[in-house]
Amino acid sequence: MKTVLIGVLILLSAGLLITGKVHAQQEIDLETRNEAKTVVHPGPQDIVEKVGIYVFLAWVWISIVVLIYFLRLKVKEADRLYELKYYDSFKKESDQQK
Amino acid sequence: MKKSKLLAWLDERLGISQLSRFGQKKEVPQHNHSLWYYTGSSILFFFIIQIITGFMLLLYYKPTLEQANDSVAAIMTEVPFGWIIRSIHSWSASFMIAFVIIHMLSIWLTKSYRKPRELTWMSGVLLMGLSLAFGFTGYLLPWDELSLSATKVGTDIPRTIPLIGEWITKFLRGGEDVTGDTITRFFGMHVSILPLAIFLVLALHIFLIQKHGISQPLSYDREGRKARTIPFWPNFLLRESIFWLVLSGILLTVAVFFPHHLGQPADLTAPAPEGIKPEWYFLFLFQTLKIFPAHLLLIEGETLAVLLILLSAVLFFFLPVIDTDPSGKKGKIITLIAVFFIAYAVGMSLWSLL
Repeated sequence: MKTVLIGVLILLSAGLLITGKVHAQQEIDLETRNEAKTVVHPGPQDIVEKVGIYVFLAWVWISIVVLIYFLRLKVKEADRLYELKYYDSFKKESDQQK
Repeated sequence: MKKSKLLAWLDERLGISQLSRFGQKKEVPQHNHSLWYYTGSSILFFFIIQIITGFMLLLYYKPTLEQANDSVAAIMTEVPFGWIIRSIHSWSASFMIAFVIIHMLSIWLTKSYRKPRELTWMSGVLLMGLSLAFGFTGYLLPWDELSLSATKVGTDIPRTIPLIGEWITKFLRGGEDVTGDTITRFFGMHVSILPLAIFLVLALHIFLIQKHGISQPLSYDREGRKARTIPFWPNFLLRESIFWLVLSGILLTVAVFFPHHLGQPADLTAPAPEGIKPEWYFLFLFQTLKIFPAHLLLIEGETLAVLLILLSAVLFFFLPVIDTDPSGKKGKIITLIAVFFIAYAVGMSLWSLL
């Protein structure tokens, strides 16, 4: 009988210990979940997204530089045509249409 | 140069060549201060970005008390690249308002509102008001602690206006307090009423710019000279597109490296957190209201401050009618007022941040 009682007590203690640990773990989980719910960290979610964003950004800047180079050439060409009064022919044409 | 078949087909139906000819006929003054001209189109550029990113956010955002904050959190954590879309939306709003302010101040200082461009200025002031309203209504939508408190403070300000103040506050909030009804109301204003209003006023503004053209500096008018001009298309538009490209790069970089945070979900029962501040463009008004004494000249200090701010806004709207002699003594005083206003706004904003 004594052995049975000691066995039950050991089982109960072990049960309480395990339950306590589970409770503590659940509380930690709940806190973590609450924290995750309240504090949202913006930014890439994983390393793949992070690398993807930085590569995309680099490509954007390279494209901008290249486009600006071509646009400047176009501006120079447009200014040259304007100075040569190339657009005046269009003006005359539209005036005649009126 | 021979046009492709597709271009010719489109031209026959849409009249693209007529548009191009119109652009070549329209002239833009070219001088040392031409850089200021780019600020106007930059506002339009950021506005278009706002529309595109706004549509994207609209697909996932839920404007209810229970779901507003969670849906924004989901956009930032679950939707692929959602955080960057939200960041671009927030940053382009700030950039747009910054350019609106720069544009208005440049027009004020260069007196470009002088005859016959009075209505262009007035429609511009209305556009500025609408842009600020976009910022104010959009600030509440994430429904976090800060946005709730700032909206409570912001919607409480009109209450001090005699006779109609109480009604304005109730109308904005959809009741006595800021609640879920306020989110629905602000969301409705942000995505339907304000866009409709801004499109109408923008159409008027662009029509007036087309009608009167872009003004040349006051010094040219004074000396009876005409500034050198370049055609709008392609010369000016190509120059502008360089500016837009640089701005788009800066916007994307800022949005990636300084993404907007989402605070803790708003709690209607919780007290307001300490140190709440509105968006940067409202800081100087916020500080002005803070420094006013409780009572002044038998009137409540806050009421007096709000009335003075409203009076300043009315005077700002009618500036071209007041500044009848831009080159004369009156014009110089008004320029001095502009300089004082810039110093005041910057000083007050910095004081509010300290």
